[in-house]
Amino acid sequence: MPPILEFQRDKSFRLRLIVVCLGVALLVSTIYVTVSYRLASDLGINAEQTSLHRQAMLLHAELLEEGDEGEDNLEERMAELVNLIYLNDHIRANSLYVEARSKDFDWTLSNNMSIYQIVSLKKRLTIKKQESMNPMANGVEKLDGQRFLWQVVEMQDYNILIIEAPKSIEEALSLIIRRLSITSIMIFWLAAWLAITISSWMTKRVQDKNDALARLATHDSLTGLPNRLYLTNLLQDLMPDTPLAELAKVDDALIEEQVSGSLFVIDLDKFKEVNDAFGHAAGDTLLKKVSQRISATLENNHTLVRVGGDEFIVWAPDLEIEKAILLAKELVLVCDEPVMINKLAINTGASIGICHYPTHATNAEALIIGADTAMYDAKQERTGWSLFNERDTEIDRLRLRLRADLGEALVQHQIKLYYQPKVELSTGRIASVEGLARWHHPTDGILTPHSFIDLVEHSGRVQEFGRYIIHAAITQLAEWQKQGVHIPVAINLSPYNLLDPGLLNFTLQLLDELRISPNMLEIELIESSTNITIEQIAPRLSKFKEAGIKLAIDDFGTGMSSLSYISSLNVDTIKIDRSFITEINIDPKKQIIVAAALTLANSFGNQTIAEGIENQAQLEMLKQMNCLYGQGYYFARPMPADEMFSLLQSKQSLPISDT
Amino acid sequence: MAITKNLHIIDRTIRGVVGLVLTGLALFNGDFLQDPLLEILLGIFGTLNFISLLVGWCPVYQLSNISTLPSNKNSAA
Repeated sequence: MPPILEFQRDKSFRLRLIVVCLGVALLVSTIYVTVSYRLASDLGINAEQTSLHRQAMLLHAELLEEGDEGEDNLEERMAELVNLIYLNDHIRANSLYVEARSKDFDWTLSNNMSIYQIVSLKKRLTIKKQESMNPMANGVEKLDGQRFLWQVVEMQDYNILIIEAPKSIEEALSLIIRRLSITSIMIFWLAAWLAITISSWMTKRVQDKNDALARLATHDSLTGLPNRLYLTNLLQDLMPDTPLAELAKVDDALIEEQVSGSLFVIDLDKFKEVNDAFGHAAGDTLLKKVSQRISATLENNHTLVRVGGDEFIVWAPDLEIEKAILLAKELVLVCDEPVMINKLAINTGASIGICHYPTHATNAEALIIGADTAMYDAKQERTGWSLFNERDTEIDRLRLRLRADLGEALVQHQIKLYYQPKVELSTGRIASVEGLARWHHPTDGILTPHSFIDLVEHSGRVQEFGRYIIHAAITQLAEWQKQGVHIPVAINLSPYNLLDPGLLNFTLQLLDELRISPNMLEIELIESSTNITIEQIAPRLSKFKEAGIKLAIDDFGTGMSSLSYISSLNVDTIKIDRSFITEINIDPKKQIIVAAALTLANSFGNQTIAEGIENQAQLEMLKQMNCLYGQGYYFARPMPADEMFSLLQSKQSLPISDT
Repeated sequence: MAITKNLHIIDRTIRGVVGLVLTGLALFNGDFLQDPLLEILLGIFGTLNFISLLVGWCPVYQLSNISTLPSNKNSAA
């Protein structure tokens, strides 16, 4: 399982927020400074222009008045006025050009202005003047980065032109710039603080929410303990699944620091009973109290996790196996102390499995599975606690592997039938053969049903498997029949197979297709580990019987229900279990049992076959007891179909004595 | 809000310099600004920075839950 990535801190979020805030602050400052500067500059220029206009009007009025009196002192008067207005000591114009003309009057004054400036400005003004058609035109001209205000008055007799580069505007603007820049720096500073504060506030909120969600996701709501997700994350951090090749590269220093520790799986033994008897509220109380007790027993660095229902896991880092066992014993005692629920003292025992990392497992998953298996052992054996046992898991692993391989085995026909003859004891004639499944496993060699039949029954493929066996037997029958050998074939089916509602039709159809008489097929009913009752399968078996297929009871005398089988099912054959045959020649008790079985079979009109005959003495004894048929290694082991075929062809009878 | 130091020595130094410059500017700028409002604001900023220098604590950092002290992993932007 991947770690809880979605809850991890998004570090770029805050940075982005700050950058955005600062960017906006910078933009706002820039716009604000620009607009303010332009506004101030416009206001200043307007004011200057108005005053220039008034001055020009004043000069004009003066000219008109003085012109009426006499021409002589007109120029002097102009110079006096201009000097008074512009070139005084208080507000001295930087650059100034004044021109006054009439038909017979021409006066100019230039201060700090070059001929070039005057000529080029006048040239531009003439154009502007004509465009505006205004006798009192004015404006601003920029020449070589310097700003010039101009004003024209063309009325009555006199034409006046004033060009001025006002010092006051430049001064005012530089003051405005200074103030604005200081202000904008402060605004920017405030914005920066705001950005930092808001961003951390938002990140904190988001992080708080994330933490809350992460806590919800990784903790159990009832006990407040961490849950399986938390554990998986924790363990995966501690013990990453590093491939061996990469492990080799890790230097010694790191290996020395490698984590170790013990993992406990704790399962309450009687939780379900408490839940059923006292209700879920009581069960919850029990869980809470027990989890509190377990927590109290553990050290600070141990992690207690509730992984579900009544199962807890404790991860104890750096805890050696010996100490782990001591702790487990203590925990068993703690869990066994009665808990008061509804004024009743209830004690639910616990089973604890211990698995040590890295002794027993190399990764987190295997560690948990190991501890779980150990816990299961403890529960089965009622020992309270149990340490992980490697052998157990090897068997488990083999079973798991076989279980996974089973599907392919059926598809690729890896499971084949081997045949063992059933012999008529008096003559040695092969009366019929029994087909026994052998799994030709690609890596594990030939497996007998003992190692896989249990798997089949629990894999959900039991019906598929039953049909597979029937199909194999019938096709073999057909093949032999084609080659001129007529011998009945028996197969083993468990009651589970008979639950398959379509099995009878499947069998009959196949028999019909291959033109095999139904009485050539015999079904040996084996005891199953499952608790399917005879009542459930009796009707089905009767139908097989009605169709002409022979029925036999396998391993007679061992199963709990053999006698009820015989009474309720109309079987043809009884096969006496090998456990009664092995010592029949020396053990009188077994002789009595076999004799009774023979009598019983005779009374029901059944055939009897003795299984597991291994030597001459057993054979002789059975013959004496009037047992007609037998099967066992003494005659032949189960063999592949082609061997069986040659045996059937070469001689029809097997040796029944050593001679 | 308890006053606990949250400024790194470099952070404090920078604040000290900024505080000095701003307070100086506020007090002795002569005809540079010619605006009492701005001068007062500058003075406040400068003084705040001076306080940060002296106490080693910044209220904004405290609000934002950040610290430039080396022991803490968080860093100021």
